[in-house]
Amino acid sequence: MAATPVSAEGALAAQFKRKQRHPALDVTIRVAKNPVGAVFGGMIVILIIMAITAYWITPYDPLQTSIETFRSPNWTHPFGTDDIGRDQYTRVIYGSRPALTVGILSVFLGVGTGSLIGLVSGFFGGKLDLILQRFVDGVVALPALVLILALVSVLGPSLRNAVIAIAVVSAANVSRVIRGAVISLKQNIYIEAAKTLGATNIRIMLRHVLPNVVAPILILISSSMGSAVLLDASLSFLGLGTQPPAPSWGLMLATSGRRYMETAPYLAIIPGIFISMTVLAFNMVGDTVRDILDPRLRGSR
Amino acid sequence: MGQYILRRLLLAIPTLVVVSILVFSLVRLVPGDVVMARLSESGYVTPEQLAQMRSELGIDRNPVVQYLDWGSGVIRGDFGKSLWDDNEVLPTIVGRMGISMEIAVFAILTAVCIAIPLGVISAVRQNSWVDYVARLFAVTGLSLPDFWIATMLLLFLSVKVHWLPEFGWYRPWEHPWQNFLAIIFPALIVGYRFSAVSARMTRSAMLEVMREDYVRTARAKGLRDRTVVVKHALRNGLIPVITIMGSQVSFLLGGLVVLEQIFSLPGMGRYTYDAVIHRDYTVVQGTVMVMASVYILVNLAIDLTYALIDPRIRYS
Repeated sequence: MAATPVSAEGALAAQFKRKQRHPALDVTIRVAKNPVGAVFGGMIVILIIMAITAYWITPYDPLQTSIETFRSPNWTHPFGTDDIGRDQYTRVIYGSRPALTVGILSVFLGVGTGSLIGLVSGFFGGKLDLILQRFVDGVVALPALVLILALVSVLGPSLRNAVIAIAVVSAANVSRVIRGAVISLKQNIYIEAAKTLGATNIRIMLRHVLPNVVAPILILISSSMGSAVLLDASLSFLGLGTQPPAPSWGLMLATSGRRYMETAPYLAIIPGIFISMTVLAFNMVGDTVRDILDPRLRGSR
Repeated sequence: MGQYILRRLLLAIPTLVVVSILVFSLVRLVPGDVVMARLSESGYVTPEQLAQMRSELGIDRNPVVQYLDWGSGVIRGDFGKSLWDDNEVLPTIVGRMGISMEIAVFAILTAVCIAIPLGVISAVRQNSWVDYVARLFAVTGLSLPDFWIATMLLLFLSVKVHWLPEFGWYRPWEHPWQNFLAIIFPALIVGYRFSAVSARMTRSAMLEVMREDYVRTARAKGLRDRTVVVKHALRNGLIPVITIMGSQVSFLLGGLVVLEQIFSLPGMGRYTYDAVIHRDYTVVQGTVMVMASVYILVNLAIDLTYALIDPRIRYS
């Protein structure tokens, strides 16, 4: 290197000057540069508002049956009515509630516990790591849907149990990623320094390790919501998620949707579009978050 | 190499033991058991009859004794009998596995044929229309639920084409054409998700590899673009792609549960689903053990192919 100390310092100063932007502003600018992500983010916001305000924006009761069965979509019933005369528009809007609740809650629960397991397992290593990882291996080796089916059949089909089951699967996967990150972080000299200074393990974990895995944790949260919504939809499609007569997209598709597919195709098409759009929106936002936080992994999964 | 395989196989044993304990305790926590499910149709049953049936099936014993009994059977290749219809579990699984494997192999083949070329073109022509189409293909593949695609496909076939694949399964050597028609749609649907994931991975791996110095060197030597991409870049780019394909096997098996249900195919997925519904402990345990073993073996095989792709990788 021919650089003199002065110019090296100058380069360093220039680098810091460039980085002086406030992190919040920085993120805002990067979001603005990713309009696709912002559009899909807006879609998720709309879906959430829809789920919260379902009572006020729907003209009927989701469970109210009537004699007007199998009406094709029209002005009074925008999405038509089903086999027992329930308004599909109302049911589809209400159906966003279980989908979003399970999608969001299970991911937070799963990523939370998974991160904790990964942190502890990677940081302490040794026998504890060996034992914890065998359990994680066991869960990962099972097809997610099969494990969730088995868990739900044990716990009983309900919204809460769907959340728990999906969280278990995501926790196992998350803990692997975080464990890997923690193990490579542990090599850093500053961890050694903190140890030498007599910092406790908990302090090192919270102050020196955790802040460095925030980015992968955020990426995991945003990228697993799409698949969590999808798993929940599969679960209710198989009849082990939200129980009838409560409205849920997967269930609507599986029951009236498939049974009257040929005479009333809208009963199968519309709930499917809603599932797909929700999952797509979460996936696109997940990709954007990943691009922002980790440009190296652009476009991968 | 031989030693490496042996060590990996030994390491799989604790994982399988954990899986077996996990699934064994899981299915046993079910409120209500197979006896209730079996007798639910036969009207009034006395408590004595229930107890007698439970002891006949051996499910009134201590769970630890039951586990050891079952576990030692599994080691000897005896997975026990179904509690629902008294059929031997392992032969039934073997009989039904053919269908699922056929679907899986077709799915993986289509995925490999679509995903890798698509991912490569998409990376080489980054930000071109081909790239956008490929990315759209991939992101929809990840977002559309398999059961919805299947429903829409059946809707399209029955309403527009006035033809539906005959439900049920035929032996490939007796009715090869019917067999093909029965499995091709579920295979394509499962393969769609599989190729979506693989295409994304191929694209990002290729983007990374194409920026490496040795690729520039290869170009500078005056090699044709095609040679550089296929011989130099793709070889290194394939490793993460194959890794992710291994982890997708789990999704594939899960997808079979749903699709075999929709297309009424008597495969492994359907068997598992029915067993979960009937609370048929031995069958759930058996299918889950087989699926976990498949997953572990496939991933071992994948680790071994790394050396074929990249001779620098040595196993020790």
